[in-house]
Amino acid sequence: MSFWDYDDPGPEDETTVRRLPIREMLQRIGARLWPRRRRLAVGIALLLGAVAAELAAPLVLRYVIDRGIPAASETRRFDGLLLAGLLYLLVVAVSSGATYLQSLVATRMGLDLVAQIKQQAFDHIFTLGADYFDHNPPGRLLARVESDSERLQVLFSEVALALLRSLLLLGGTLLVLLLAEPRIALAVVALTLPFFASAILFLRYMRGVYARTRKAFARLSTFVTEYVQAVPLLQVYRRTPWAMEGLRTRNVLTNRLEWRSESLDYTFWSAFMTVEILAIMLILYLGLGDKLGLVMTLGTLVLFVEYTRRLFYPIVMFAEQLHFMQKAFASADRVFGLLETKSNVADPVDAIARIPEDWKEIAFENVTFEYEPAPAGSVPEGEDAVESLEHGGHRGPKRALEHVSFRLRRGERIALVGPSGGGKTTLTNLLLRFYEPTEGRITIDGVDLKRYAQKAWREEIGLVLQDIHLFPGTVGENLRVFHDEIPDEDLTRALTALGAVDVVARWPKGLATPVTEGGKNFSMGERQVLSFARALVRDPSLLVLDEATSSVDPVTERAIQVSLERLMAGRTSVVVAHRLSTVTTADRILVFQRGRLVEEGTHAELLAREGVYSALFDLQFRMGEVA
Amino acid sequence: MNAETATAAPPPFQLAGGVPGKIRWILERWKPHRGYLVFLLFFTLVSSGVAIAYPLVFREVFDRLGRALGDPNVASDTARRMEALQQVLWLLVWIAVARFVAGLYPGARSFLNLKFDLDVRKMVFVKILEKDHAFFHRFRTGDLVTRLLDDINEYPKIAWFCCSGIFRALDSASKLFFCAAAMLFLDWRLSLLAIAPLPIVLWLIYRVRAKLTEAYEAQQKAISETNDHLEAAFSGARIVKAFRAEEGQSAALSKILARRKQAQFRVARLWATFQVLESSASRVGQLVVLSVGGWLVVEGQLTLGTLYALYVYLDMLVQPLVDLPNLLVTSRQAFVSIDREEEVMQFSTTTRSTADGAPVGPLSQITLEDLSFSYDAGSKEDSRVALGPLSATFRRGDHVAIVGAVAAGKSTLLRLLTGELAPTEGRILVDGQPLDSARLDDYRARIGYAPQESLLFSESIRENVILGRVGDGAVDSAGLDAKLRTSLSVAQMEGELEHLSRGVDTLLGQKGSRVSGGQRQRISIARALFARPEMLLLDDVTASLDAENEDRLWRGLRELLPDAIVVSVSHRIATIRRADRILVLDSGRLVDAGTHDELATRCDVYRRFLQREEERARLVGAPERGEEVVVGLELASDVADGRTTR
Repeated sequence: MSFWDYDDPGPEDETTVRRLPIREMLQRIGARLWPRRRRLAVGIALLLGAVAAELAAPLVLRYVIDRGIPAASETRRFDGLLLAGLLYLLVVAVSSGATYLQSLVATRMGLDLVAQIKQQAFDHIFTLGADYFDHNPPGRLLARVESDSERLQVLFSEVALALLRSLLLLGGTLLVLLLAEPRIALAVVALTLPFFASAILFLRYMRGVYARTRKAFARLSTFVTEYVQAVPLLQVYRRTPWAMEGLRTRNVLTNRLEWRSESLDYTFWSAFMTVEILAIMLILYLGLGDKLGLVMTLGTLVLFVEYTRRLFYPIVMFAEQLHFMQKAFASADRVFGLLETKSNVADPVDAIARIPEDWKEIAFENVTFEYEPAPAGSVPEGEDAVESLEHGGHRGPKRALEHVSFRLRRGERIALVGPSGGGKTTLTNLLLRFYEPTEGRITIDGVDLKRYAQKAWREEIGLVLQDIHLFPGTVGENLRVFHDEIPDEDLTRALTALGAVDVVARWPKGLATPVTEGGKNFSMGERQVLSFARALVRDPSLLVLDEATSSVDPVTERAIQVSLERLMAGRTSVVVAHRLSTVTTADRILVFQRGRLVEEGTHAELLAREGVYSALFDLQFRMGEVA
Repeated sequence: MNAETATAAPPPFQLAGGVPGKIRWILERWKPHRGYLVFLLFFTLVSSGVAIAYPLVFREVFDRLGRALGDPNVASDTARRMEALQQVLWLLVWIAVARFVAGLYPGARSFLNLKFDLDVRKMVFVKILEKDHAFFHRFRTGDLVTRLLDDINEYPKIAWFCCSGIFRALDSASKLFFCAAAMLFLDWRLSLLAIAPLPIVLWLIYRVRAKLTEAYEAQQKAISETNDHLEAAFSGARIVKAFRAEEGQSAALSKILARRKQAQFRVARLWATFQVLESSASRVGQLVVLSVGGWLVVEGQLTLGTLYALYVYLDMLVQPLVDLPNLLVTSRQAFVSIDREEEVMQFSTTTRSTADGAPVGPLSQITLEDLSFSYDAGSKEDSRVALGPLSATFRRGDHVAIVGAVAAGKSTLLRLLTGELAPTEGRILVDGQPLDSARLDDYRARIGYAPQESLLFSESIRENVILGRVGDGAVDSAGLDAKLRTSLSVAQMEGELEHLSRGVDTLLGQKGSRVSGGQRQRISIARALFARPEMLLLDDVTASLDAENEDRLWRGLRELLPDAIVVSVSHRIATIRRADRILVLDSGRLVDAGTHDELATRCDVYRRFLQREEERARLVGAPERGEEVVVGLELASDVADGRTTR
């Protein structure tokens, strides 16, 4: 739980985000701390108290040794001694208590702050457009909101104040020593300074060693992963002894580097701690050896020994804390960068809030769409860079849709078919307003869709995707998709419409059944049903469906077809079709090829034409019977 | 719901013998390092000894100095003061040296930890290299990787525990013993008084630590919960946006974050309490030492040095007392890891030794005799169908194509031919000799295999092709290079190499990324060709080659290996047409066999297959030179085949 746990850089650390200058960084951090200034002040006050108490302890000890005990032995009265003893205890208790309270205050502050940042980052991400999600895989977003923020938490809760504490202790210790016996103090500093410098240099050098060790371990790790997967192949090629040798060499190398870094570590720090004794020897020599013409009491001697011993640990901590600060600042940079990313999909100021309930027609008017490539610097260098041809993560033509025009009338069921990369999914994305057309426009009853608020339009749509995405929570929460105000009756109504009420009733907890691991505890058929029900709950006026193509057993397939039919009954639907039943029952079929709408008509009409559709049909649906 | 969720999970595997069994296991690992362990034991005693001696030395130092300073004769006399000083300095030099050496002790432990890391990993890996397909179905790659990496080298698992875990406990125990002995030796009455309050404090510490472990687990759960929520929200962003669930998600997150804050704060609070208790555990005792001891010093019954020593010893006593019970916790975790390794190693396998058996000469005929295969009944291993019974003969120079729909058993047949799978019934005869009694090493030396999903490694293309086969025959490095080049050229990889900045030395990324799918397949082919095999088994390797390249591939192949038996699974008509013989499989059965012309006339299944492929080619259109052929339509079958572009 110490900040050492955060030493390993993740792959996200390598992205090049703009670097905020330190001053601005501190400003932003300061701005967040300002509302909590009272708590911060309390924390600092406690810290000062703790440090003061800790510095005072050896002083009390000196008093006891130099004055208390001799005085008591003379006067044979112990109240002075007892008092001193109690004072020592008090001082130590204050130190402990203050440290304890201070760490609690700092932790609470840090936790509050970071929870706030995480919430803000999360909320902000969802105001950004679909292209942001295209260019930033979930892993990276998770790293921003979670790992980077956690580093900030450690920074606020532990490191920042600990750094202050180390500085104060160091400073205070030196101050007391200087006041006690300046000449000896200076000698001790003269001895310690080079070691302090060497500690910093050593740590910097070790960073390189650690990095090499981590790399070697990554190579070992990759080897194990790749070769374990390939064992049957390796057996066929009789490469198992060779693979064994491969493991041995990589493991030995990793261990050698590991040993190198550890042995350097132990040797250096062992020597470092031995310097403590050297310092004590120096003190004794100077103090008693008449070199400086002083008279030293035993008490002062003990004082010096105690303080010198306390000097070394903060030095080590300080160097480590500085290193952590660097990493934390890099994290802060990325988090603030995220929070300040502007959204490019805002509603116009005069957006219309509601779609007319009885809309009659959706029209695509000469719509063209191109995907945008990822912005520079947003993809990490190295491993994932592919040398072959890919446009911004999208395979297929750069122009996903070209001059597409058609009309969709209320109540119609339209099927979209065509080879992959043809533009069907893009069309559904545009329909959902995840993207805006590059040219042309989409209208409802003649009014450009852009004039409406995005949320207004999405109220009208029920979406069913290929990847049935279920969220952690209960079945009920998934069907509601986090709209707590939807009553259970609406859910049951949707399930009834699909003929699926018994499916849910069969589960012991019914709607309260938890969804685990993205839905793995349900069968494929059950997940499909939930996905349909989810779309149906809000009684949408338009259904957008991307049919799943995974093969299921014939029984499940039949059940899904039945539910599907009930889902689409009497509802305006746009379906990316992969099922025979879907196309044959569609009112109209739109055929897409390489981004263009090449054919349009009913199933019978298109078959008769013996064009693209006809060929597709033979291929897809006839073969489906053979396989 | 799935039947699996209804029944309870089977109990996890445990190594026989309970805790003594684990100890025996650890002792087995210790055996090769006996010498070092003795040294380490000795070192442990030294380290404890030095730690204990430290306060005693300082006691001497203070006492001597105290006497020197206290005696006015000595204090004023420089020479005598210097003499006292010199004695003290020598003591300090010795203790400094001892301290330095003792500081290296953890390093000595760590040295052995690393040895155990290597030993155990090699031990488990070598076993894994011998396992069969049932094993790899039972244990997923990720799980095996965790067992090979984390279970061995993470704290406080196997490698750490076998050495550091045990020796730290020994170290603590010996420190404790010496500490207590030293204190009692110095002044037993004062010591007992000082130790008296310890048990209560220790009890408190243990309780706090138990609570801390609990709180820590709760924290980890809360962190998991946060991660799950965030990950689901981000990967399901479209659903979230489409269903306008942004606010709902935000509210849900806020609750989760609040819970997490509480969990984290609880941990922080307990941890701080723990630290305070630990650092002040000795305080009460120290107070006793100071007050009672101080009185004794005044009374002349105790020296100041002894007072100081007792004061420091009390401090030293706490660490080992807190540390020792840790052994129970760390041992539990290490034992679980040991169980996991043994589970993998002991999993039964059917693979036989590849060096035993009758020698295999140059291959001239392979016969399949009523060959049948099915995965273990009851194991839900594959949705793939069983194969057989199948009979066929392949002769030298034959090109045999295997066609059929998905799950027809094509890949299974190839895997039977490589010897990876053993037939359930029937047999494979290699030049009249049954394969299951032949020397597999010999047989496999003569075959080349390219699986459907090319398995490449994150090394250079050169290394992926050669796959360490440098020792085969007396080939020098120039010859090796030539062999490499030819293999790549036949595999139609040469043109591609020109586009890659470092050519044959281009490093592939993880699992072969950084080059396209088609390039990966070609490298896989080159690898199969490299050793100039007598039989070539190719599983659908031409899917991403255009017609021209494919033509060149087959011609090049025949030129390079004119007598080889080539068995290829393919969907490409051009490939199939070239074959001397075609085997048509359907749901594991051999429907028909013959030449293209024969089958086109008489086999329905074959005809339909042809039609479909022709239309596919027409639909997708002629690809441009060099462009990858992307399969046009997404069919349910294509998705199952793994060829989808999604």
